[in-house]
Parts: sequence; structure tokens; C-alpha cells
Amino acid sequence: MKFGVVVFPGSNCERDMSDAVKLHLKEEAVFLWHDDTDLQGVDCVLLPGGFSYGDYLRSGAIARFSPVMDSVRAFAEKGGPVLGICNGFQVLTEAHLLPGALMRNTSLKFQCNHVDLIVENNRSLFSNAYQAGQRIRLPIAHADGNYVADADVIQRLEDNHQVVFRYAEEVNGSVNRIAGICNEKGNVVGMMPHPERNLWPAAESHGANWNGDGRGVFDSILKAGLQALK
Amino acid sequence: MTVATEILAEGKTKILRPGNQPDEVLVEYKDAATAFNGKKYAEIPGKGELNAKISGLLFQLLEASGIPTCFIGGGSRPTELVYKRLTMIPLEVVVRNYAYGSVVKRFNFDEGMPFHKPLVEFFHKTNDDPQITEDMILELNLVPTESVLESIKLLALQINELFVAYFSARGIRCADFKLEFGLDKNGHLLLGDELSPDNFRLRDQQTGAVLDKDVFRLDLADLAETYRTLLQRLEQPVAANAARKQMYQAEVLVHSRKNILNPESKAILEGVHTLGYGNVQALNAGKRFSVKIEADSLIEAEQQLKKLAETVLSNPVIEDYELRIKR
Repeated sequence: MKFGVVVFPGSNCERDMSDAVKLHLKEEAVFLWHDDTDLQGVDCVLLPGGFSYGDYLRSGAIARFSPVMDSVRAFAEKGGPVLGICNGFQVLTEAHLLPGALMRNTSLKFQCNHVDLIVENNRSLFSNAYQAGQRIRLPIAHADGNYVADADVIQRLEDNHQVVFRYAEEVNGSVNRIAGICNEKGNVVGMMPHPERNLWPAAESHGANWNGDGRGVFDSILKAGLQALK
Repeated sequence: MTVATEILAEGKTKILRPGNQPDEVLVEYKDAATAFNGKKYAEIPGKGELNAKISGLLFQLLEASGIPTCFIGGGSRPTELVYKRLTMIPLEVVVRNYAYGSVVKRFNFDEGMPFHKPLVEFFHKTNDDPQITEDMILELNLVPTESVLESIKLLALQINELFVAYFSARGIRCADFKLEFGLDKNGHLLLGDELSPDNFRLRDQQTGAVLDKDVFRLDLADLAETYRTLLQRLEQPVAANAARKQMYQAEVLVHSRKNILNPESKAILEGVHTLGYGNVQALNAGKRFSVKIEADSLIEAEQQLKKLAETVLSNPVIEDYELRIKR
């Protein structure tokens, strides 16, 4: 499979993303420059974390108008898998590829931590390698992760099982402790936590036991992708 | 076709009758001419028909440019137009480009002097139609909300741009005019009343000749003849003036939507309370964008600014915006 990692001015997790593809999945990864419209025939688009366009106006607001996003939208509408992590999630909401918005954390702090998540939906293209209800641990690093949407939108997300990941405990003020969602088709997923930063078990560092819980997100897409190829 | 006899209302120059649809009215333009608040009066044969024609022409011009008006079409008689039924707002909205009439007396302008920017003035439709301030309009609840008053002002200026360009293309200076607005059954603001030369001050750009009701007010010429000549000038095809780009200034204010808790606002309010300002009850932080935009018209500028505010400057999921276009 060929993965495309979109690079906006101010993205800073694009290397981690491409490493996840190359080192963990052993697949091909290319960078897609924000100013290009050619997706180079990739099978999956990854929107990395960072501070695209300095987070000016609103996080993700300006990235949404990048030329590459028109191609990403067309790709997503045809059912192509798109994953946005952290700033990538913010870009996907601003681009209306996912509902809702991400506001300032209620703590008003940039929260850099590790959190426990519940896998609520293991049928999306980016969560099918997990067990439903599985508890996983991933790092977070964001100031604007407070997920907000109108009550009817939240109801619809819950009814349709579009909440993919939920914080096990209150983290940033998100409605219903929502950490990640997918669109109705399940091919577009956005999440605030960083699975690409927990791919390999490691000795305790920064107070966490890194156990490789993030692998499931990437394994899922490969699994889904291979099934599609069969 | 029978002429409805029931009269809904009759004014100095118009009679309103029920239309064929429940939300329509037939407006008959009378031959009467009045001035100085009814102190001067005359019957001028042909005036009703001329005014109905000119009004219809100008309403069509505004409708074609996207201004919401009461105008539906011509009636079964040449003196008659069909309008949407409105609940009228009891205000006369006067737009002035040049100093004539009451403004000259009130502020001692030289007659015919151009204003730097168009002026919008309000008069209360009551005894003697006194000038009225915006505060008093709100105090008397003459408009349902403050934003309706803002819309009236913006529409008046947009209409003024259209009229200035339209008359200028025909060698006529549009010095001032009066508008009245109303609300339709859905509460939408529409331009109502009439757009006849009774409500305008029009001057020939070359000769300065008076082309409006001032000929009757000041006994300058025959009114019907003047209006007939005006109608001919308006009906003559002219090359449309190339749109001239203009610079408009606006402010876009963006703030959190009601019921959306803005953590920053909450923190600022808590800080304000800690500093001893316990009496501060509410605080909503937001953003203010000062925008300069080049556009063909105020209508186009408003459309583009709205789109900009809705798609870029604010995120409608969490934010509302307020658009303030400067005069």
C-alpha cells in the first residue's frame, strides 16, 4: 500500500507518520505538499499533527483552503481512507469532512500527557484491529482538543456509532469525552491522541509504559486495505 | 375583471385595495398632488398613471439588482400596481446626496451642496413627521429589533448606489429621495411605498432643471409635463455605465455562539472577578476583523463579506458573526 502524508507549513508530526508507515507497516510513504493537488496515486491519506499555518484564525482553519485539500476531499468522497491526527483532526472538522469543532481545552493549557482511551467502534478503517471496548494508552499533545458540536449532531454521532475513541477519563472538556470520530461511511477518521507516538514497547519514559498500543490504528488500515485488494 | 371596491386604506396619493391573493394588495396611484404636509393640493390629470409607471420601473430596477421589495407587477389598470401586503414601519427613510429642502434649513447648508458621503435620516410618520433619532426609534419600538434598523440603513445606502448610477447614466442627478419599509407575513424586511418623482429630488446634470415634485411645490413648471418628460428619459435605452470598483470598509465581529462555553472567556471572567470586579456579570471574548474590500457595489461587497465571514472568519459550529459595513 502507498500512504501519502500531507505536509502543511507548520506540520511537525509528518516524519513520525511516515516512520509509522515505513518502519512499522513496512509500506511505502510519500509526502504530499500542501500546494500540490496531485495525490500521487496513494491508497491512504494521513493528515499529521502540528500547527498548520501557525494555528492562525483557528486551528486547521487556513490549512483547509490549501490546494491539496480539494484533492483530499475528492479522495474521501470516493471512499478513500483519510486519517487526521491532532491538527489533522482539526483540519478535517474545519474542512467539514467531519462534523463538529475543536475548541480550546477547558484547562486552557497545552496538555502534553498520556491518556487512556476506550475503543468504542472497531469497525472503522482505522480501528478494526482493536477489540470493541479495548482500553488503550496513547499520548496527547494539544491546546485545542475540546470537541464541541450541537446536541443533535452529538446524538447522531452516538446513535451511528461514529465515536471511535473515547477518553476513559475527563481530559480537555470534550462533549461525552469524545477523543476521535469517523464520518458516516467510516473511511474518514479524526482523533486528537497520537497513535504514531506509541508504536513500540519501550522502557518507562515520561511516566508511561509505552506498549505499542498505537499500532492498531495503522494495522487496521493495512488489514482493511489488504481485504480490499483481495 | 371587476374592480375591487373595498378600500383597505387611502392616503394623500394612493388607495390600497385587496388583491387577488390574500397576501397581495392593489395600489392605485391617484392624480392628487400635495405638498407642505397637505397644505398645498391639486388634482393633476395623468399624474397617477405616470407615477405608477415610474414606480414600477424603479421597483423593477431594484428587484433585478437583488433588493427585496413589495413589487409584484402591474395591475389591471394603468394607474395600478400589485404589491405584496406589508405591515409598514412608520418611518420615512431619507437618503441625501446633495443638500436640498429641510436639511438646508435645519443645518444651514448651501442649497445644492454635495455631501461627502450619502446621509441617511429618519422621520417618524406621525403628525408633522418629525425627524427621529435611532435611539428614539428603538424606544418607541417602531422596528422589531435593532438589527432591522441596521438592515434598513444598509438597504437605503445600497438602493442609493443603484439610483445614483441609474439616473446618472441618463444625465440626471439624484439629489435625495424618501423610502418606506415594511415587513411581510414572514417578518422579512421589504421596500414598500412608492418610487415616484413625488419622493425624489432629481436635477438635470447639465441644466439643473427640476425633474421632480419641486416643480409643483415651487410652481416652477407643469407637473404632468415634467413627469412625462422624465418617464421618456427613463424609458430610453442607454449604455450601461461600466461598473466602477469602489473601496468599502467593514468590521466583522466573531464571538462564541450562545450556549457554547468559551473556556477563554470563562478564564478571563474568573480573572476579572479575582481582581475585584465581582460586579462583572458576563464576558464573551471574540475577534474583530477590519476589512477593506473592493467591489462593484455595496450589494456585492455585502454578499462577499457575508460569505467570507461564514466560510473563513468564523466557524459556524461554534461561532456567530456580526457584520458592520461602514457608510
